[in-house]
Amino acid sequence: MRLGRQCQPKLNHLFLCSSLCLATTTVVAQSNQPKVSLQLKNVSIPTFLSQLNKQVKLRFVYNVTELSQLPKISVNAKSQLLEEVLAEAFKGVNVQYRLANGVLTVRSRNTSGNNPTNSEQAHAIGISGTVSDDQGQPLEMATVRQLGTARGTYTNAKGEFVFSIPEPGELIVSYVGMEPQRFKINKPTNLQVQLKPTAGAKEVVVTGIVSRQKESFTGAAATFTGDELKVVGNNNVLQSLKSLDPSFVLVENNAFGSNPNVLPNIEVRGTTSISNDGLKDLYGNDPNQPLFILDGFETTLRVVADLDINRILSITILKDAASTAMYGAKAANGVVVIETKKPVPGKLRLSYNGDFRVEMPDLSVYNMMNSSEKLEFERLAGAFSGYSGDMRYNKLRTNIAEGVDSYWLSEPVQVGFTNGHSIFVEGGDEVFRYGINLNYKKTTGAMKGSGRDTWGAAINMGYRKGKLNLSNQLNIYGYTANESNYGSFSDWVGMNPYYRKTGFDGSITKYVDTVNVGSENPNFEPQYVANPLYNASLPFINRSKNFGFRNNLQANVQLTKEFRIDAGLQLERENTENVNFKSALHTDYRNTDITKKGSYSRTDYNKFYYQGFAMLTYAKVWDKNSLTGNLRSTIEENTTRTIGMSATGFPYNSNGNPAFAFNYTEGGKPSSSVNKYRRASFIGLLNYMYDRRYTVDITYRLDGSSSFGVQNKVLPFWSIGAGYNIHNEDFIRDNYPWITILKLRGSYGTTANQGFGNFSSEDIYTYITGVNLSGQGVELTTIGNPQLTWQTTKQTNLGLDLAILNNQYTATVDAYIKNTDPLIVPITMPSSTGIYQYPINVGLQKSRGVEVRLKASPIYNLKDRIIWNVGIMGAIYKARYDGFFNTLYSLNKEQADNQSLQRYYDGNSPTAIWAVKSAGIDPGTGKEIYINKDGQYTYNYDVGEAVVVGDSRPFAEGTISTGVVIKNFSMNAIIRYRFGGDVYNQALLDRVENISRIALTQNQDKRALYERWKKPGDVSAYKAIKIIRTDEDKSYQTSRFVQRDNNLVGESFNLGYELRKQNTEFIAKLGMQSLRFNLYLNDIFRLSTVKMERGITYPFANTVAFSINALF
Amino acid sequence: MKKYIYSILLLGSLAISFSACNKYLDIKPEDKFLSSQIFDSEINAQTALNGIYLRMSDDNSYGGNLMLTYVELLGQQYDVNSTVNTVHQYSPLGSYVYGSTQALDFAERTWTFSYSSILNANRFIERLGNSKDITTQANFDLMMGQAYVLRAMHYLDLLRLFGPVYSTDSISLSIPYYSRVTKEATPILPANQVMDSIIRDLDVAKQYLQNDPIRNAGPTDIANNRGVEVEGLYQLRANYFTAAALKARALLYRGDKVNAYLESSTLIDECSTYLKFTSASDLFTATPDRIFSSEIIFGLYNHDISKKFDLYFSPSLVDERFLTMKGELLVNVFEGLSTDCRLNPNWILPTTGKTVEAFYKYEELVTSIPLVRKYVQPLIRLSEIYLIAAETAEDPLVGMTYENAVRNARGVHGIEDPALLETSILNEYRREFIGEGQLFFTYKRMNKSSIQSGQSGGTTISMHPAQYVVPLPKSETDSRN
Repeated sequence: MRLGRQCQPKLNHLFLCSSLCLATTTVVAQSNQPKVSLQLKNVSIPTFLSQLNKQVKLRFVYNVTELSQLPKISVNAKSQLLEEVLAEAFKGVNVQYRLANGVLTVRSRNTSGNNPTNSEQAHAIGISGTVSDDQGQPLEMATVRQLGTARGTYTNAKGEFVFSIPEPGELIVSYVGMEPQRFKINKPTNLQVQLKPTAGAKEVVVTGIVSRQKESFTGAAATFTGDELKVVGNNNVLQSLKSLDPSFVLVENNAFGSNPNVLPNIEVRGTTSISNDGLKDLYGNDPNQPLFILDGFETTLRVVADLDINRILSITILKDAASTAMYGAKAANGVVVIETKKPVPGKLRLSYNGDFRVEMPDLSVYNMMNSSEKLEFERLAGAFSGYSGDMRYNKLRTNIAEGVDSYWLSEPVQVGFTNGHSIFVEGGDEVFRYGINLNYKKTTGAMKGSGRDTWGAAINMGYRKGKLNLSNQLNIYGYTANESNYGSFSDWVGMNPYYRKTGFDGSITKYVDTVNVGSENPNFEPQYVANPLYNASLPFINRSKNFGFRNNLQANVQLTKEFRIDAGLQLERENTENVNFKSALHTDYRNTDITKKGSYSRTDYNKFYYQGFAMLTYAKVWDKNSLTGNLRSTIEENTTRTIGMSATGFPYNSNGNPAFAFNYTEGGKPSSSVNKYRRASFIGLLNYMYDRRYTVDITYRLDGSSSFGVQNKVLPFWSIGAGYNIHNEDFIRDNYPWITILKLRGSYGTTANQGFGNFSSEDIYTYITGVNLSGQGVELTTIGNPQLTWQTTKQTNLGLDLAILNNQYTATVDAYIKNTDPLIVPITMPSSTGIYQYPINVGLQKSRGVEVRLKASPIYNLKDRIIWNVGIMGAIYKARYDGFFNTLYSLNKEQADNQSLQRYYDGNSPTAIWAVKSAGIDPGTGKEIYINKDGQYTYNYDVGEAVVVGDSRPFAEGTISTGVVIKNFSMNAIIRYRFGGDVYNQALLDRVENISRIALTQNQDKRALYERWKKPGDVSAYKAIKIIRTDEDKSYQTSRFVQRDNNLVGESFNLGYELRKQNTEFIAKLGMQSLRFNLYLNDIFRLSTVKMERGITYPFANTVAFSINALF
Repeated sequence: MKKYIYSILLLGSLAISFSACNKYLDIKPEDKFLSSQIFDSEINAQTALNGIYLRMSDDNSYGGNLMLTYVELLGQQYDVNSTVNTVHQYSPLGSYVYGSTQALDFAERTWTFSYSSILNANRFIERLGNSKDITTQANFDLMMGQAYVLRAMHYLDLLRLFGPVYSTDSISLSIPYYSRVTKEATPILPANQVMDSIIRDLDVAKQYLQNDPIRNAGPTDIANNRGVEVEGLYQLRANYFTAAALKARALLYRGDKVNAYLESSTLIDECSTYLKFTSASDLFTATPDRIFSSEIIFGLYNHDISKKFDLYFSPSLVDERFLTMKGELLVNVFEGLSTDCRLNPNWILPTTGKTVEAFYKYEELVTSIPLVRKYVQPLIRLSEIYLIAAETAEDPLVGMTYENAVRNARGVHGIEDPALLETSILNEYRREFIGEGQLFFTYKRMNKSSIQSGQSGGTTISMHPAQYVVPLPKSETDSRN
C-alpha cells in the first residue's frame, strides 16, 4: 500500500525494468532452489531467460543487447534444479552468472571494462547496507546501482544488499514510488538508506475512468488531497478548491452574498458558451459549469457543494483535451473528479471530525444615510413642496429631534453558527474491508431564519479474493434548506432611518408611513411603506427538503497478467420538495381580494439515474516499452420529473397548511414536466511510454445522446497528447541530479458542451390548456433545427512541470488555446416567423490563457519538523468572439433595449462592458456629457453609441500562500489577488443618481447627498440632486459607473496544532492515535479599489471556523 | 489462448451493445410530442389541427383582441374616453395613440400570436401533405381545407389591421406572408400581393372542402344541442361555407364588388337551406339565444367566453376596466328602434353596479341543461353575407332586399329609399357585430374620414390613414436587419 491506493500494483515493476534496461519478473522471493522443466532448441539467451522467468520466482538481471549477440543455446531439463539447468545451458557459452539474494545476474564474459572480472573484484570497493522507508520498514527489491553504468543489485527481504564497485563512484539507491538517493563512494562503506516517497510517484492522476501514473500522463491536471483542501477551510469543497488551483474560479455572486443555499457559478478555464436565459434549461444549469464526477459517476453541483469535506480523498481538476476528451460531449468546461475515502484494511479504526463555524455579516460595505442626512437629501430633492410637504417635513424633523435614527440593517442579520460532525469507522483485512461514515452539518446563515442542514451516511465494502475485486458503496444523504423569513436584504437596506421600528407602545406596526408619490403610482394611490419587521413576524415558509440515495457497485477481474475487466453499476434516486408560503397578512396583499390573500406553492422534483459500464484493460510492459489500452462502453439514463401546484386565499391565522387554502391560484393548473435523456458512449484509450522518457496518450470517444439532433445522434471526440520526461534522460540524471522532474507535455483534442439546453432537430408539440368539442389540442412549442450541430471546443495545451531539489521547489506552467466553434446562440427572429429565440450555430469564441503554480520550501527539515513553504499561483485568461458578422444584429439591439451591458460583436471579449462613453459631469450645468463613437461631445444620450468601456474579467487572478510547520504547530495563509478587471457599479446608478419619487421612500447612498453637483463650477462625479420624473432626467449606463476593481482578499488563514500518541502522554491515555485542532479565518478582509455595495439580497459574511480531528 | 477468448467475447459484446445503442437512444418525450408522433395517425393529426382552434380562443386572438377588445376599441364600439374621475385603461386606443403602452401591447400580442397560429397552420399543411396515408382522402381533404381557411382568416385580419387603407392604397407594404415554415424572415409585401395570396388560399380551401358534408347534410341545430352528439356541428369548424364567406369578405375588402356579389349571393342561395335567421322569439326565453346561433357560419367553441364577460363587460368591474356604450349612444346606434332584437336582451341596464347599460352578449347562460351554445363565439355570420350582397349588388333595389332581410329578421322595418342603403348598411355593421370585430375594418374599408365616436354625446372623430393603419410592432421591425 506504499504507492498510494490508486496505483495499480500491476504497473509497479515497470519502473525498475526500463530504467535499468533489465528484464525482471515477479516480486516474490524464493528461498529454496526451484525445480525447472524446460525444452528449448537454438534460442537466444534472453529468450531462454524469459522462459525460465515464467517458472522461477527470481529477479533476473541481464543486458538484452549484450546477451543477444552470443551464440544460441539449447536446453532440455525435466524437473531439474535451477543450478543444474543453468550450468547445462551456459555450458560452452562465454557467460558468467551469479545467483544471490534471489537475484540471477547473467553477463557476457567477453565484455571488458565495465564488467568486473575476478581480478577487478579484488580491487573493488565493497559496499553493504540496508534500505528502508521513512517509517523504518525494510524495502525489499530496492535497486542499488552505480551511476553511469549498468552495474546494480537488489535488496533482499530484510532490505539488505551487498555490492561492489571497481573504482570510486556514485551510487544511486531507488525504489518504486520513492525518491532516489545518491551516495559518493570512495571507500568500503556500510550504508543505512532511508527513502522517502516521491511526489511524482504518489501522484497518480485519477480521471474517474482510468488511473494513470503522472509520469506517463500528458494532460493538464491538478490533484489535491483531502488534507490540502482541509488546510484552506472546513466549509465546503468548492470554496477550498478555488484557493488551490488558478483555473478553478468561483464567480463572485454579488446578489446572493454568503447565502448558504445558493450555488456558486463555477468556471474552469473561463467560459465556452454564451450564457443566455434562453439557453438555460429548467433547472437553470449554468452552461459554463464543469462536469463533476464523484467516485467515477457523474454528479451535480448540489451534491458536491453539500459533500462532507472530511470524506474527500482527492480532487482532480482535468483541464485540457487530453484529460477531458474521455468525457466527450460534456467536458468542454473541464471535469472535476472527486474520490472519496475508501476503507483501508487493518484493525478497527475510528476517527471523529468536528467542524464549527461562525459567520459574521459584513455590513461595512453599505454606505447608507442616517435619518437627518436622508431628510436633508429629500428636502434638497424637493420632496416637501407645498403645504402638505411642509407638514410632512416638520413631522419627520420632530421624529429626528426625538432621536429616531433606526439602523434597519442589523435587524435581519445574526451571527450564524455552524456545527458539523463526521465519524468514520473502518477496518477489515485484505479480503474484506469496510468503512462507515456518518455526517451531519447544521448551518445557520448570516440572515435570520436562513439555514441549511445536511446529513449523509455511507457504507463502503470491499472484497478481494484471487483475481476478483468487488466493492460497493452505498450513500444516503439529504438536506433541508430554509430561506430567511426576513426576505431580501435590499428591503432592509432601503428602509428610511427616520422611521421608528416599533410603535410607541413597542408593538410592531404594519405600515410605517404613507407617502403621496403623485403620478408615479398609476392609480394615484399613496405609497404604503410596509414595516419589514411586520412581514418578518408572519408565518413564512421557503423550504427545500431533499432525500437521496446512491449506490455504486464495481467489480474487476484480472483475467491474465495483461487483461483486466472492470464493470460498474450506479443507481441514484433523489427527491426534492420545495414549499413556499406567504401569509395572507403580508403587506403585498394590501389591495388583494380576500379570496386571493396569501399564497402557497409546492413543487416536487424527483430524479432517477442509472449508469452502467464495462471496461477492458490491457497493460503490457516489455523491454523499454509500456503500453496501456482501455476499451470502455457506458450507458446511462437520467429521468427527472417535477409536479407542482399552487393555491391562494388563506385564513389570517394560517401557518401554511394548504388544506386551508380557499382555491387554486386563478387559472392555475398542476404543473408537470418529465425530462429524460439517455446516453451511450464508447471510449478507447491508449497510453504508451517508451523508456520512461517519451509518452503518448490517445483518446477516442463516441458519444451518443438522445438529446442530440436526429441527424447526428452520435458524435466522435478525440484527443492526442505527448509528453517528454526530460528528467529521465541520462544526461540530466548524471549532470543535473538536483532536477527531480522536468517534463514537457502537449495535447490537442475536441470536447463538447452538452450541459445546456435540450435542443431537438424535430418539431415539438405540447398540449394547450383548454378544451373544445374536439377535445384537447397541441401546438408547436419548438421548431426543430436539423442542421444544428453541437458546440465543439478544440483545445491545445502546452505544459511544463519542473521540480528541483527533491520537490523543494516546484513549478507548473500551462498555456492553452480553447476555441469553441461554432457557438449555439438563440437568435431573435422577426415575430412574424412565429419562432422565438431560435438556436443557430454561429460565430466562435477563442480563448487563450496561461496558468502558473509555483511552490517553494526554503526550509524543509523533516527530521525536526520545521517546514516553511511559500506559493504563488495565477491565471491569465482572454477570450474574444469572432465570426458573428452581423447575424446577431437583433440580439444586440435587444441587449441595448434591455439596458444590458453585454453585446456580441466580433473581436470583442464576452465579458466586455458596453456603455456610452462619458466625459463626466459638466461643471457648468451639472449635466452629463456623453462622448459619441466619433469623439464628439454631446448632452444627448444614445444607446447606439455604446462602446467597450471595460472588461469584467480580471487580467490576472490567483492566490499567494504561505505555510509554516514547526513541530506540532502549523500555520497557513492564502491571499487572493485580482487585478485588471472592471466592474459596473450599478449601486451608484441606482442609489446615488436615479432616484425617483417612489425611490425616495427608500434610503439611499450617502454619496447621493454629499458628492453630487450643487452649483456651477463644482467638479463632481455625480449629477445634481433631482427627483427623476422623465426619461431626460434619468442617468444612463455610461462609462462613468465603470470602475477598475483591483482587490486583495484575505481568503484563508489557518492555525493548526497536532498531538500524537508518540509524543503526548494523555493522547495515548485516551486511546487516541492523534488529536488535531485547526482554527480558520475565511474572507476576513477585502481591500478593493471600488467602494461598492456587495450582497444585494443577502449580505456577505466573514467567517471564523474551528475544527477538531481525533483518530482512535 | 484463454485470454484471447476473453477479449474476443468482451469486444464482441461491446460491439453488440454499441449497435443496439441507436435503439437505446431513440426515446420519445413523455410530456410533449415530436412531430413524427403527431403525424403518425389521423387522430393525432386532428389534435394538431384542433390546437389551432384552441389558440383562436385565446385572449390574444379571436377570443379577445380580434373580436371583443382591441379591434372593437379601434372601431369606437365602447366608450373609453369620457369616463369621469378615472382614466379608462384603454383610453389611448380610443384616441388612436399607437405609441402608447397599451396600444403597443395590443399590437404586439395580436401580431405575435396570430403569426404563431399561422406557423402552426403552415407546419400542419406541410406535414399532413407528406402523411397522406394516415387518413382517408375525404378526411385528408377536410383537414387540409380547414388549415387553409384558418390561415387565410388570420392573414386577412392581420392585413386589415396592419395593412394600408386598401381602397386607396393597395400597393404599400403591409405584412409578410409565409406559405411554409421557414427560419428566415420573408419580405414585407405590398397589400395587394398579400390579398392575392389570401384569395388563392381560400380557393384552395374551397377546392378541398367541396365535398364538405355541411353542403349536403347541412349543419345541425346549435341552439338546442346539448353537447352529447356533436358529430354534425360543422359550423364549429372551418367549413366550405366559411371559405366562401371569407372569400366574399376578402373580395369586398379588395373592392372587387362584382366577384364579391357573385360569391355572397351564391353562398346565400346555397346555405339558406341550412342556415336561417334566428327568430326574435328565441331571444325572449329563459335561455336567450344572444349569439343568434342558427345563423352562424363559423363559430368557435370557446370554453372561456363567459369569462370574457367577467373580464370586460361585467357591471361589477371598476369604471376604468368596464367596456360599454352609454345609453344615449346606444339609442343613436339603434336609431331609436327599441324593437331591435339585438338591443334587448344584449344591452340591459344592470340592477346594481352601474348606471349605464352593460353588454350581456357573452354572459354565461344560467341553465341546468348542458347547452353547447353556452360556449359558442360567433366568428362569421349569415347576416354579414347578406350585407356584403346588399353592398355589392349592382342594382340598389336588389341590394335593398338583402339589407331589408337582415333588418326584418332583427324586428325592424325595412328601408324604402335606395339612397339610404349605404348608411343603413354601415349602421347595420355597428349594430350587428358588437363584440365581433368587424366595424373598424368596415370604416377602414370605406375609408371613412369621419366616424362616430364611442364617447357619448354623438361626437364624431375625423379619421385619416395614419389612424387606420396600426404600425408593425417592435418585435417585427427590430429584428429585421
